[in-house]
Amino acid sequence: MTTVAKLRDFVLNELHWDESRGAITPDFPLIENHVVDSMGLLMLVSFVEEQFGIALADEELVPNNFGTITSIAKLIEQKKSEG
Amino acid sequence: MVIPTRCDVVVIGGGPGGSTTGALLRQKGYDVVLLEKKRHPRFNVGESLIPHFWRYCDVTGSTAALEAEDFIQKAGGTVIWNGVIRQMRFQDFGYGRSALHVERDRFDHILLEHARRQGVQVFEDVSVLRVDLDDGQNRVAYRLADGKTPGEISCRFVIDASGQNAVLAKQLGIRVIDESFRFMSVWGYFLDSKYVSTDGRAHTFEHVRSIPPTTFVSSVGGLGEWGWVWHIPLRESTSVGLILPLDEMKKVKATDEALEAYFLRTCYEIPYLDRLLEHARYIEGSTHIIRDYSYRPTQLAGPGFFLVGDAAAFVDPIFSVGAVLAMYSAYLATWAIDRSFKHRGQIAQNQAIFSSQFLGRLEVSRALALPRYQASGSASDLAKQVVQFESSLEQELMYVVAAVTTRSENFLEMAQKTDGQGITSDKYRVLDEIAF
Repeated sequence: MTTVAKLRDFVLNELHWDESRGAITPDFPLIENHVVDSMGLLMLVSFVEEQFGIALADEELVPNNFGTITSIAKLIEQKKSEG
Repeated sequence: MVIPTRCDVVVIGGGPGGSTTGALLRQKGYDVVLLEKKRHPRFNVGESLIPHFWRYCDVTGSTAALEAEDFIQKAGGTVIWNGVIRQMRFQDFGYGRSALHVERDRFDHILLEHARRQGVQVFEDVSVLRVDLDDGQNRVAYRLADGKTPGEISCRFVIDASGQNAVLAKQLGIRVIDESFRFMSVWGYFLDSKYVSTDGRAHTFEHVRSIPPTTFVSSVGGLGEWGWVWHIPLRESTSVGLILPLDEMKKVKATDEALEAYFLRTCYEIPYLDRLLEHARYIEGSTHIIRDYSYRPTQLAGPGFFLVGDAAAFVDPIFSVGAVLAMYSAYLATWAIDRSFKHRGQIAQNQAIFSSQFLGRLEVSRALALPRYQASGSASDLAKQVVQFESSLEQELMYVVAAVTTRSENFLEMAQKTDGQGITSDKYRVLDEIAF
């Protein structure tokens, strides 16, 4: 399963979204549409760290990194390559 | 039940922040002891709740118990600021669930009993005397209400959720008076007050169930930019309170009688409030006062501890966010503690995330409550980030609540929309008058 697919599953199953599943595309704006909120952000951080074996720092919890599934996937790849 | 000598987490305080932290930590399987100084139900102020709090009750599982209580559901706000009457409704911002007016003795008691049912070991009439922080092995010294029985609990983490008592924050000296807010509050209770609904009309108290009330807020002339009054219909009575600059109170003798007379005289001098209270009966002896209660933290967490809710900070209560901030910080603290138990090397990182997320949110409230806000420094950078983490509709709600009290420029500065073009809203209306 790709990073994007894992993230999409998590967003659909665990976060705040009760409309059409098809709407959650990789570039769907998660914050603007209230899928990721203050509580969702923390759930995402825990999921990303456990699932992908990385540790996120305080200053990485910015809207640019969590605005879309694509941006979260990019953050994960970048952290993995930093090793 | 005997207070244990050891547990995972000690929570100081049984208000919404403490009860929420306790219940959430139990869900994660931790052993929690909660020490409450008083015995619930106990009086508390802060009766207006915005609908955001339901989210946290859903997570702790207390929603059904709160719904069964059938508190007054409020539909929105009526704000008279410098003579202009504005109204907003929560349903226009996607909130299907109601904002509430609650008797805090009942509301807080329900949450505490829920925490107890979740397995939190709750002990009332227990005062915390001192916390000795020692990395990974903290000791909380307490005394029972009989004044004699002392005791001590060892734990990994301490949550200070003791509200304005701020037991640990005071002991550590990490709480300072917020010089931007030098105000105090005087409030009391009335029977049979009229109230304002979203139809822009005043209604008699017997309709409070069938025609939902709004929270009524008005600026108070002659008190500069600071003075304002709240009017909150509850199930049996109506809570009415003044927020006053400290300087104003220097004119009033500090006796209870003088304060009560000042309170009642001022209430009947405020346009529209005087008419809402025209045939109301003041409940004798129901005047309360809090002096100089605005403060901010220099630190929100450290080795072994986290501050939650009012123990961390308190600003002008104009936007009714106190209980929501308490529940949010409870969620955040639980998240940080859970991760710290699982990965011992991550404690500092978790404290940093807790501190910046919570500080950003506190700063948003502070900025919205200040008549003029100058965004500068790291706290306002964090506040801007918090705003950017909100949905478009939520940002619009923040804009509207700021706009109705003429503080929208503060919000636009935080939302980094300095041209004023970025956010506008037609989700509030201006009324010519309130019809009686």
